[in-house]
Parts: sequence; structure tokens; C-alpha cells
Amino acid sequence: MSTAPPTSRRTATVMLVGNPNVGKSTVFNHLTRARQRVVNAPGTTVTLAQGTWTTPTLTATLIDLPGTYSLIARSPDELVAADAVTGGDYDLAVVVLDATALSRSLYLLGQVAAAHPGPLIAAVTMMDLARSRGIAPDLDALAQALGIPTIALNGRSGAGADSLAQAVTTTLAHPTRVTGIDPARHRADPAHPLECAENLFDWVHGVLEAAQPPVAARRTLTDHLDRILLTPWAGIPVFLAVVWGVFQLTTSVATSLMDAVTGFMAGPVADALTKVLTWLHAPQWLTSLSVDGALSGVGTVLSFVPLMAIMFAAVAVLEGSGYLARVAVVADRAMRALGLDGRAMLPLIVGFGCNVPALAATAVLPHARQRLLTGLLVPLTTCTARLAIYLMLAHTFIPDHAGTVVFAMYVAAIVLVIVWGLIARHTVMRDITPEPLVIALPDYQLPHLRTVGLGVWTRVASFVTKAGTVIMMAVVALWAVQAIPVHGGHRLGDVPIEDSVYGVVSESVAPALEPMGLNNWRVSAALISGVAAKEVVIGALAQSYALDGSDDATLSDHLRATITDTSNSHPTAAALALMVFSLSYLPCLATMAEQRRLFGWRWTALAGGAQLTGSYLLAIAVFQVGVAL
Amino acid sequence: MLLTALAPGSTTRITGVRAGADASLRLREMGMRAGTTLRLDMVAAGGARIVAVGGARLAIDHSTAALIDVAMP
Repeated sequence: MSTAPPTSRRTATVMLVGNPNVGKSTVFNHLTRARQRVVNAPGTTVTLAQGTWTTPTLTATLIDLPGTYSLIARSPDELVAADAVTGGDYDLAVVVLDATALSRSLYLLGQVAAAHPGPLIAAVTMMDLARSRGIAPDLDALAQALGIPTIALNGRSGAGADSLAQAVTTTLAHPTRVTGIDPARHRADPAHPLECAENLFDWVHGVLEAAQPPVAARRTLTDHLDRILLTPWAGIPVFLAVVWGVFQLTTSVATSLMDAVTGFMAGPVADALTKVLTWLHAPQWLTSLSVDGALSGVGTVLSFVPLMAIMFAAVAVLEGSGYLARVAVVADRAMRALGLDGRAMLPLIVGFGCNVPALAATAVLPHARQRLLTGLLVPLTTCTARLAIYLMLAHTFIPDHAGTVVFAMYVAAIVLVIVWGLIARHTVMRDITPEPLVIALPDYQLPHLRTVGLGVWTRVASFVTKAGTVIMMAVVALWAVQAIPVHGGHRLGDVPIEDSVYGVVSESVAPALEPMGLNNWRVSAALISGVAAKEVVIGALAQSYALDGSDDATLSDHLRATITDTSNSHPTAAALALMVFSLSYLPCLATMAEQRRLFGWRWTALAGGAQLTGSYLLAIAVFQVGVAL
Repeated sequence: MLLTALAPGSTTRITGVRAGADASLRLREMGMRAGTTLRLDMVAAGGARIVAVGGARLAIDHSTAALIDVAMP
């Protein structure tokens, strides 16, 4: 039996560069399969996919850069792509060309060639769509005109991947330059952008003359579908139906899955862990820490997994199908006043179900600043967990107009989104200005299941490891403040609320609620619990009255008595103030953890502080006006 | 004649773009430069123009489309 001699394998860093919607990520997913992760570009909130591509002769670190039309960047995402290309910290760039939009693809290739003297390969995607339109380029002629290896690549089937691997190895050993590109003449120069663009388009024109037939494109199914989906009479209802579908998926469908996970963790798993710890004679506090702290934290994180997976899948399907670009057109006017792309409508509407997947849905926006602004506005959309607070307070204090009051809270949430959006745009985000809508409409395609699956897997993994860690730590910290006794001589982990750190903190915070007529530790304790999850506010109130939470009428009686007392007999005004405060005082832990994952601590803290201050002042105003009336 | 004055289905040629430097550059990068032939496919919701340039299709909002001069070839 002979042993094959070890072959020398090369390692290299390979960049994937291309226009948006060119099929770059499909190519990336095919080449790296599950060996990939999402990373932040250094110092930015722009994410990149990075993976390992193994070929018979090469182990490459493959980096999927954000799609861009140009190296003269207009957004943080484009800047990351431009900096990566011009920085030259890689061995080879694969420029992905869209056969149905060869002109603008070649423009970017020309810019890359002028900026980077290293090896380049052109990978042409969408050849099947180009053939259906009758505009497929002659690849031999294209390769001849470009002077670099030019491969037809189908990211879905993988056809062409072997040729690409071979071309990468050959090109790394024997690099060739793009014919006709002169860095001095064609390099993207922000000082003379139009002149550079014209020079480069002259080169593009020459390549196209050699490689693409000068015929008018045939109409395809996409054109016919757009004749329906982009019109006002059908486009807007279809858009609303799609958003409604996503909303339903992230509420009705996800809720049952979340409940199943939560029930499993809090039931059989918690019981089993308790039995094991009892068998080991663990002290009571350790059992409480393990079950009510750590396991509860794990359960919280896991309960979000199906919800996030559904949201990530919905975004991937909308993107992969080509429909997302149509959303930008149909909803353009509605979001333009906030300087946002029409696609921002999707996360903002999903936020009315749950803020956490809504933050994930900001991925539909192509520009990092727009994702950030939308992500900061999402917590103002009042999720269904807050609805329970409104319903309880409205039925208790304003029973004759409960429906109107709850409806008014939704209107208030929309007004807050608009007002905070305008404030942000005129303060910390002055750089966001409404841009002209000039957007490529990709052909409709059936979403590629493997690409969707890999995208969901990678993003859920990122959520669990990054946001999940924060959620877990926060839940354990919350357990600790509830379990540590301050007075009363109780044991750790077995403390009535009022004798715990939590109770003492609630007592000390309560006077701050005096101007809104709510100076009571039970109210402040419930609001603090609401930072963990808005669902637990009503339960925390019931718990503070030593109720089991199942008897709303009794809780209503207690609460009415408390708030009548704290508000000097203006309970309606105080209840309205509490509702307004609950609407936006702070996002829940999971939302803040996801904000931190996407935008970093600084923005999360800034947004939280602004929300807390704004809602505090607003609640005081509501109470004081209510009293005056 | 402006792109916004064109009837859907017409094929025309771009003669100039009056937008500011940034918008002009982006339009050029998307293939909308003087001399290019385009076909106006439809007027979409909100007044955006859907045009075919080469094999690509673009959506251009109404106010930007109103800055693009075209002439029948």
C-alpha cells in the first residue's frame, strides 16, 4: 500500500467583488458551503461574510464584499467594498459580472483593475437569464477583450466552480492585467468623478462592442410581472399583503414555536435539572441560580431562535426572489421624508409584532446608515407584548373607551417613529439625505434553498453567540438582584421582592415617577421587569401584590387603588402617562442585545438614553395636562 | 423632451442629464449616459419610471426622471 506524496497547497485571500444582486452571495455560499461566518468590517456596522474555500490545490479565505456599483462610495457599505479593493490586502479578486447588466458590471471591473494591480478573474453569472433576453455575451470574445480569465459561473448549480478554482490557481501563479486599463486614466478619482466615469465608459463600450450583440433585449416574465407588481392598483396591495404575511409569520406562527421551546425549557428541562441538583444536594441558591437564572437565560435565547430563523428566511426569500427591489419602488414615497429607502417599511411594520426580528429585517436595507436609523426607530414600534399593558390599563382605568385608547397608542407609536426619525436626521444623522431612487430591478427568480438555508444558519449562529450571550448574562444578573436579600434575614435565592436588591432599587427609583403620578415601588418594579421583557410587566405587578396573576379583576382593583393614591385622585391621567411611558421607555433586553450586535454598544446606549428621556418627559406632560384638564 | 413626458413603450435616446454631480455620476454608473438608447417600460407606483437599458432594467423616481433629457432616435 503506497502513500500519496503530500501535495503543496497554497493559501490565499480572495475577494468577491460585484454589483448588488449579481449573484455574488450565491457563488460565495456554493464555494464555502457551511464554512462561513458573518463578521463586521473593522470599525463599522457593515457586515461581511467570510468563509473558507477549499480546492484541490488551494485553501482560500474567501471574503464576500458588500455589493457596489462603484469604487467612488456613497454609503458605508460601498465604502467598505471600495476600501477593501483599494487597500490591496488580498491576493486575488474575483469580479462577478452580471450577464444581463454587463455594462455596469464592466464599469466596476474597470475600476477594480485600475485600483488594484494584482491578479483578477472575471466570473460571469446570470447567463441563463441573459440568453432568455437574447443578450448573452460571447464569453470567448469577452475573455479576449478583457485579457484575463473569464469564467461562466452558476452559483446555484455550481457549474463553472471547478473552472474558477483552476483559474484562481493559474492566475495566482501567472497574473495577467486587464487589457486597455490605464490606472492613471481610469482610476476612480473622487476629485474628477464624471471625467473618470466617461473615460471608463469608453473602455466599457469597446469591450461590449467586441463581446455582446447590439440587439434590443427581449421582454421576459419579469417584465410582465412588473406590469402588475409595480402599478399603484396592484403593487401597493401586494406589498401590504407580503408585509402582512411576514408579520403573521413572526407573530402567530413564531409564537407557537417560541411557546413550545419556552415550555420545554421551563418544564421538562427545568424539572430534570432541579432533580439532578437535588440529588447532588446542591444548596437552594445554586439550584435557583441554575434553574431560574442560567437555564431561564438559555431558554430565553433559544425561544428566539425559531423567530429569528423565520425572519432571516423571510428576508432571504424576499431578497433572493428579486421582490425586495420592487418594495423599494412601491414604498419609496412613504419613507422618503425620513430619508429612508422604501424597504425600511418592512422592519418598521414587523416591529409591531416583535422588535427583535424587526431589527434582523433591517438587513433588507442596502446602506448601513439607513439600517442604523431604522434599527434605532424599531423599538418605538409598539410590539404585541406592550399591547397587554395597554389593554390591562385601558380596561381598568378607561373601560368605556378602552378600544379607542389602545388604538391611540398605535397612532402615538407611528407619530413617535416619525418625530424621532426627523430628530435623528437633524442631529446625529445629518449625513442621511433623501437620495434619488435609481435602482436596478433584478429578474424574478425562485429563491435558492441552499443559499437561504446557509444564510439563516449563519445569521442565527451569529445571533445566538453575540446577542444570546448578552441576553443570558442579563437574565442571570436580573436573577441575582431578585435573589440577593438586603434586609429581613432571608436566604439567598428565597427572598420576597420588597426585601431584595430589586425591591430596594425599585423603592429608590419610585420617587422619579412622582411627576407622572406614579410614585410607587410596585409600578417602578414592574417597569424594571419590563426591561427584561415587556410580557412580564403585568405579571410583575400581580406578583408585587402577592397575586397569582390569573385574576385580572383583583389586580385591577389593587392597581386602581394604588394609582388613585399616587396620582392624588387623577388615576386616568396617571394611567395614560404609564401607557405612554411603557410605549417607549426602554427596549427589552433581547432588543437591546440585538441592537448591540448590529450597531454596537454606543448606539444602543444612545438610543436607550434618548428613548428613556423622551418617554419620561412625554409621560410627565401627559399626566400634567391630564390633571389640568 | 424629458423622460417623464415619454409614453410607456417608447424607445428613445438619452441626450443629457441635468442632475447634480452625485446623481449624474450614479446615473452614468447605472448605464444612463448621453447617447444610450433606452426603452420606457412603464410608470410605476409613486411615478417612478421603469426603463430598460441594454439588458438591464432600472427604476428611477419621478423627480430624477424629470432631469433626464431624451430624444427620439
